[in-house]
Amino acid sequence: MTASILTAPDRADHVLTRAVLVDDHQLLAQSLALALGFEGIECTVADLSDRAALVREVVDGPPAVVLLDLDLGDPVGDGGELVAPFVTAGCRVLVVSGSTDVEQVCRALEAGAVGVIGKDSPFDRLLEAALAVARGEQVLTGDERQALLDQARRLRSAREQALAPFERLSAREGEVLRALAGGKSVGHIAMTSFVSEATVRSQVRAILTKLGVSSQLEAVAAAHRHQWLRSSR
Amino acid sequence: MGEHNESRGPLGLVLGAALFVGLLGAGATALSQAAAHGAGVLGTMSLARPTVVVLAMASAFFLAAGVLRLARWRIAGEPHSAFAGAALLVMGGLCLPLGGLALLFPSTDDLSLVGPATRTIAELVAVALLVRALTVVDMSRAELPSRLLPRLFLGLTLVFLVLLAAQQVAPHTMTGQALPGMVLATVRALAWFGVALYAATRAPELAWAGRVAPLLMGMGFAEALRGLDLARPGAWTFAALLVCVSMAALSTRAALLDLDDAVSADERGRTDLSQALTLVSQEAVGLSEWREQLTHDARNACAGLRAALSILERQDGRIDPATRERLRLAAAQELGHIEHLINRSADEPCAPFEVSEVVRRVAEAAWAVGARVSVQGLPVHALGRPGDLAAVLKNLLVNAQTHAPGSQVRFAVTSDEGIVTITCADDGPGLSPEEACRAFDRGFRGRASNGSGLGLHGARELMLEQGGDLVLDPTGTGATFVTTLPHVAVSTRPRQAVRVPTQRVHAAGPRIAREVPVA
Repeated sequence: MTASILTAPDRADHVLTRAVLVDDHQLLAQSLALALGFEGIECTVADLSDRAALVREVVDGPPAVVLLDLDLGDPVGDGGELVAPFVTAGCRVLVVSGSTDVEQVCRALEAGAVGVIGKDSPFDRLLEAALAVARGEQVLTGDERQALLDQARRLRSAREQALAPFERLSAREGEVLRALAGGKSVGHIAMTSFVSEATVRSQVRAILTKLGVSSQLEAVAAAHRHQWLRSSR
Repeated sequence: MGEHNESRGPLGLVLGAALFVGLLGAGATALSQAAAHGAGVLGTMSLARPTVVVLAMASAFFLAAGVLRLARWRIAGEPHSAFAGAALLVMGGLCLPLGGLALLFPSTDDLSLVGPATRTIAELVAVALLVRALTVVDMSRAELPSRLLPRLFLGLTLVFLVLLAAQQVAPHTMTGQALPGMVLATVRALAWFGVALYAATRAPELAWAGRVAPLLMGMGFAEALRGLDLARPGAWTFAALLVCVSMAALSTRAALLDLDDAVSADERGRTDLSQALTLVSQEAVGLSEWREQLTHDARNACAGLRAALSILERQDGRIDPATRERLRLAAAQELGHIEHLINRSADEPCAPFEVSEVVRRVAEAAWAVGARVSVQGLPVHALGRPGDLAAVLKNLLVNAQTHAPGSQVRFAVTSDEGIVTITCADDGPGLSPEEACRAFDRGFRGRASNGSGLGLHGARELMLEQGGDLVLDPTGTGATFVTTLPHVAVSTRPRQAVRVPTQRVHAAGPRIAREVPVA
């Protein structure tokens, strides 16, 4: 994986004259398209109503610079997953992200994105970065890239550590915890899942033991804090 | 508190059995006593051992009941439990088979170290505590110092010691030979009957008082029985003790049930609290998610606006009017989206509001930027969230401007059969059958859509949330969207004449074609 990251920018030696903007926020996409258009790059703003069509649109043409947002909303969802198919097709992907989620950004880098730039950067820098990518230059220095990847690795291991106790929950215990977090009482859970309250209580006890907490409230708080509810959805 | 489940495990059974045996024994003793005419068959000393056993049982039951009552006091914080518990402990102390010690000294002919006078005083103390328990309801936990119990015990112990000492010093006075035993027994019985009656009168306000009244009555009965033994403790006293032990057993059972109630009420309280906190934390999570989304969208909007401004600033001369218009629309949409996010509050309750006014406000905002919009309709009230309706209508307006540039947009408000209908029609090309099918799908964007914004899917969700709907009317020539909300009759205001100017049309500059390739 690391090798591909380092070699990806090196093999880009020719200037690309086509750009595709993949962003659900149209104002930025349109403005960038306009500006790049004035620089002589043929731009299209991708249609985000169909994921497969989007991939085809990018991949079918000549290799392009793809300015990719990572949060694309429904129905496309995570833009990070698009990086790999684009890179495979010879495109150079610059992540233009409004996200502050380092892990998400780094997943895109690991998948072969050339660089990343925040949406909060000045417009000139955005434009310069896009042009640099088109020329085949590096946007991130090796050190910057490494620092980002390290940070992501640290974050990931911290998150995995925090979520480890949740991994030990059985499927049923996970269900119960989710119901508790949804504000359901033990009695209600027992009723809706057609088991006795004593059964649910013992499941709750198992949850408390596995998470190493002493009350239902603590368990629910832990689930929220470590975003287990979201990650397991 | 409240309902008592009669089958609460083996302890209840044991207590019930003890009660049964006690009453049976009392009856049998009384009968045999009657048969034996006072003395003879059942001699005094022959009852000594059984009396010690019964006394021990009564004492154990009373002490257990007292401890249970005190436990309930600690859990539920009701002061009456503390006083009732103290009274029960006094009774327990009183019944302690100290008399059994007498068996160790065969020379002693009296079974009890607690003489009638001592017994009377102690029982009156217990009765007084019970009366206090019955009157104390209004006292909160904070007013009842937790040092009360040690003080109470200390005081009672002292009283007992003093009484015992007095009994040793002046046995004739204290063992009731000065006062006839029958008189003292009558005093005790009357005290018990009195407190029983008082408890019965308090029963409507205090559930537990109603439950203990029969037990107190039983105690009075026991003392009355005891009074039948005129000179020395005999079979009647034994019968009285049996009744007494039955009452002790019953009070233990009552205390146990009450404690059980208090514990489960406490547990319920904790569960409720925990659930309430869970809901609060959930709301906090919802809030932080909303904030996250707002931040994310605001950051995107800022980036977009910055980009648009920057490009207008530098390349103004090279941008054709159509592109400029597209940028303007996209910027307006971005702003609308952020505005909606900021104003949006799903917790806002649906309330009656005047629909035409909201429609007019939306139209006015559009006139301000030169759109051609007309509004037609009577003032009519609907149940919903005006902010959300405005967001939906703005969305429809932007939609119409995008897909039917230059077309006039007509809003019409009507009310029929409990439903307020707001139609939004344009003269554009309308939707193709295929588009019409997918118009409300999540993520669907029309041919000329600028994306972003609420989208028809989001708009429809908003209306559904309020008990209304948003549908496409396939019969119109252009695109006609029909928004509905539940109608409410608001009688306080007289129906006014048409407040909204009909057919007010603002001419605007020429609309520009939709798809213009980037230069």
